[in-house]
Amino acid sequence: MKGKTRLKALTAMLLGASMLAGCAKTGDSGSAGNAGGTAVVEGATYTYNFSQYDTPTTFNPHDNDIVDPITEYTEIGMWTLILNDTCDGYEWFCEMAASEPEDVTAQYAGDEKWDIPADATEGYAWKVTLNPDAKWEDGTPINADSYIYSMQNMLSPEMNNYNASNYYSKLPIKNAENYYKSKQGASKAAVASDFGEYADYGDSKLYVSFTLPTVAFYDYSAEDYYSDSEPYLNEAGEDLLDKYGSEDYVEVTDEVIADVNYMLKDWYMMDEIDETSYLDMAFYDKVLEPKTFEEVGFFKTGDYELTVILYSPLSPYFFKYYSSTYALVNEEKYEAGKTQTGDMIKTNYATSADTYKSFGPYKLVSMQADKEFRLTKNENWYGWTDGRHEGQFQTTDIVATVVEDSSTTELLFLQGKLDYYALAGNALSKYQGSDFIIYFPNPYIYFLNINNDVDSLMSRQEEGESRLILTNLEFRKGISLSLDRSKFLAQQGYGKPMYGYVSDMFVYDVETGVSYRDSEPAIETLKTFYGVSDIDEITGYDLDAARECLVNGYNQALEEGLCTETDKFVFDYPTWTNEAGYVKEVNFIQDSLDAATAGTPLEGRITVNMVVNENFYDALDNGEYDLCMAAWNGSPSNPYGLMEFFVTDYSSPQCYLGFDPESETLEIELNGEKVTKTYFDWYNALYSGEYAIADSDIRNQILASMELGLLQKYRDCPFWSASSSALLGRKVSYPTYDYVNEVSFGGIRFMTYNYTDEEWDKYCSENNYQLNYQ
Amino acid sequence: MGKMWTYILKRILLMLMVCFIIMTICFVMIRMLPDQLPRGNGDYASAVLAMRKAWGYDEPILTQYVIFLKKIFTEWDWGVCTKVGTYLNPVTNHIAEKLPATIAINLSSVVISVPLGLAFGIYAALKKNKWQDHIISVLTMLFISVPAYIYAFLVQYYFGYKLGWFPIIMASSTNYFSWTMIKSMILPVVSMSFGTIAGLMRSTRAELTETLTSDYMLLARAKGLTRRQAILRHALRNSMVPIMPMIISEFVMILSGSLIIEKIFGVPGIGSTYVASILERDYSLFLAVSMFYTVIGLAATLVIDLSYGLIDPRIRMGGGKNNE
Repeated sequence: MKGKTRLKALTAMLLGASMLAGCAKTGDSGSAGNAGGTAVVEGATYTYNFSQYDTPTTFNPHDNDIVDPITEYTEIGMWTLILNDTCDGYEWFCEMAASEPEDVTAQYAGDEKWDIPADATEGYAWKVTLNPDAKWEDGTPINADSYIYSMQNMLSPEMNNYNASNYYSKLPIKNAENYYKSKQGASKAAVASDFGEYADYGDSKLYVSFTLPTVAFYDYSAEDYYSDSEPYLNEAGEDLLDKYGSEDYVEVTDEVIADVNYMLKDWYMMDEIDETSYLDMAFYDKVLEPKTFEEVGFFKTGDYELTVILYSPLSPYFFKYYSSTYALVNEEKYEAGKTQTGDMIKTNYATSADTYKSFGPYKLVSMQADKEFRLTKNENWYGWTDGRHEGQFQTTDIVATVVEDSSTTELLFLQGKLDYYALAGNALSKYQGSDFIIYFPNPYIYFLNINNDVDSLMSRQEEGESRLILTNLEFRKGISLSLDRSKFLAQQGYGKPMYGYVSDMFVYDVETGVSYRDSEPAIETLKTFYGVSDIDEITGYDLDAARECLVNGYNQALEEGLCTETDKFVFDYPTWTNEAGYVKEVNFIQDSLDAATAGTPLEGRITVNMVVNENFYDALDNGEYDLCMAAWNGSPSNPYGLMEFFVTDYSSPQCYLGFDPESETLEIELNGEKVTKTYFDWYNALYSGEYAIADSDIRNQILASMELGLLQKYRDCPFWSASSSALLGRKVSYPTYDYVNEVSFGGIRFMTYNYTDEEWDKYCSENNYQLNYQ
Repeated sequence: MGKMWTYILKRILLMLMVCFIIMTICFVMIRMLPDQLPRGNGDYASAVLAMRKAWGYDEPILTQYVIFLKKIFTEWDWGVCTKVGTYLNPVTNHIAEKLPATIAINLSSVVISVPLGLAFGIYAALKKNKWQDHIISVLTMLFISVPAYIYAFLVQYYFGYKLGWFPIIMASSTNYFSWTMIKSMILPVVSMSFGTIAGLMRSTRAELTETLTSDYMLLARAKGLTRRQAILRHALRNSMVPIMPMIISEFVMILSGSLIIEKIFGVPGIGSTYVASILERDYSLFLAVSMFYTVIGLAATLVIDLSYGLIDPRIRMGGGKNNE
């Protein structure tokens, strides 16, 4: 018996080690201090401790309005994305489903009941085989009936669950919306979609709304964008928000159409506008034919088999992605918690340990509201014995403590009582050099925008100064090369230097999570632009080259009469406020330019003038700036959409200052053929035109070419990408410290431990409960 | 005595009337707040709208108020938590669940700070203008002037982190009598006590100093009482008239939590509930907590007023104009 135990421990050690060997690397931005993870000690406990701002009000998957921190550990999806073997992307892993979903569209194509096109071959109907070993924490089996019960309650018209729409909008289950709204009668729906399509509203009554989000205002309301300085006016000069803003829905009349179209012409900054443009702000009475749950495209076809029918096709990736857990809830607890108010039924399911049952790797053992919750291994989880999860989920217990105050959190972390500490404020600079820091990128990209528009520069140029020097390409290049991005970020304490317009976070292939930045065309673009043979050599900073470019640019400007030998160069730099961060930013640019111009004819002649302007965006739109730090973001799964900022005036009119993307052309070689379009047309072709569904190789080539063309103009100098950061305790390790979309650093699944709980306490005690993470 | 009871009854009736007026104002104001409903695409907004409709939020305000009052008076139903605390938990339960931690901290603080405040105050008065008095006075000014959260951070850092004598946050349990819990409550209790001790000490010293120089103290000593007898029987009792209400109000305020101290020491008390209920627009909880604090405040005023008569028999309540 003893021998067997030892053998089991050895096997576990080897498996764990082999798993780690696959991706036991630490990234450049990684947490060197946490590298490692030791062999699992049989019978030892490994507790992951972290802090929370509060405990969740509810973690009922039907009704919670945020991603709660409990179900993340106590529930597990049908298929989940996990870190791949090489730790640089992700892959699907079957959990509550026994196998990959089977596309059975052909079987249902032409079926009148489900209204699937007769010629459809894929994406509409899916067969899901359930994992027969799945159980609730009390050992009760989970079968197809459990899912049917859960989905019926999730979509119940009497319960009106907060998350019901996920199962007819994200996962477009046939007739789910009809069932969910079977007692509601007509409901208001937007006419225009984000994809530029209009719904078939038939003879329905139309309304426009100034107070609700619409496509015309980028999914915000007209009210949200309203400013007193730029009111929405009709032809007669009436303020339309005053006129129509008192009601959410204003019935459409000829007068309303005329007013809204007039306003949108101005809003869209167009000379002429289509007469149907008002539909961008329109809603209609959507009447759905009531359906019963039996008519919903979610039914069982076996004790451990479900079939899901969709009203619009999904790729396997998105079908799995949006399937999640199929809203699985425990019937016994769910029913016990139900209460009725009027026609409305609600349940207190999943509001405490007593009202909930888990089906994931961990179970909730206690929860004291606003104080703490504790989880421990769910012994009835199939994963401990199925042989597929070896080397995963080393954590035996999870304790989340509510700590609202950040300095208290820091002290607890330094005492070794927390294993994770999110950095903010002063802590960012205090721990920026720590070996235990981990970075979470976010999709915001910052770049220094240099105004090169002659008219707007001239309009602010005063006697004895020159702003027009910024129209000189060499001079702008000199500014870009003078910026030591790494130094700036070290001073700021967070962020990552940017050398192109798309950060590592943007993936072009959601199936594998491969970043656009890692694609061949994207790499070539940066190598070409920065003149290096290895992308790792790029710093974007070269003081000597910067000096040379600035002087050359200055000499050219003198020859062209853009400045004189005595002119001062005062560059207005608008900021929102005069907060310390902005002051540091301006000082950094000033210092960089001072360093690059030292010993040249430009020495002491350049001043970066911080201009605090609460109407920051108006200042940019109107060209009332010379230099400014602009930011932009987009969906991490669509790098191609990022070009919107640089070549359209949809969201950044300033991109037309000194650059006309609608007339300036770019030639790109695609499949050996040279294609020429304007920048504006390339963007449209890539985003919604002929290349919108082209191969990613082609799309990446177009994006990379656009990026290179824009970089070479030195109008927008990539600076840094935003990120948040945290300290990871010495006790734990991740297999990678290069953030991977969707799976972060591997999560609790791949978290390993450098100490058992007992060893950790001893270690902390030896260090007087004052650990050093600086 | 009859007049006293009439007075008490009258005050209670007035208190109820004030409660009703405050409740009405709170109810109307919270329901009239602009942008009460979440905006957004999809059906999130309609789901929330439907829930609120089912709970009667769609009716005219007056009707809503009648429903609200009816539920309170017939079922003692103040509504359920929707955005704060535990979903669908009756708000009265929520308040009851939050109170023990607050009471445990506050009561301990009062129990420690009242005797210490009085003792130091008496000592300082007896040592008036001596070095002991000067030290105590300087410390008093320091503790009164510096906000409580500063001591909180200091004691947490030095006694909790650097010296490691006490846990830096309150333990997670509802057993407030275990040694682990008591030990974990020491730092928040100490932090809360500094201000109260200093306040009581200053008032006691001031009152007692004045009393000790009164003519009747001279008379008492002339009658042959020892200094100790004169202080205990005459000076102290007379100086307690303005101090006793302070002490009583400290006891009444045991029920109200300290937002900052609870936040720093992770006390799962009621301190943040009021603010959270407003920020999260949890209407039922907001009303219940508002009324809870209103009742505490009014009750405290009544008890303090009545206490004057108990401490000093010369002060009579409920008397008419001809009362002597």
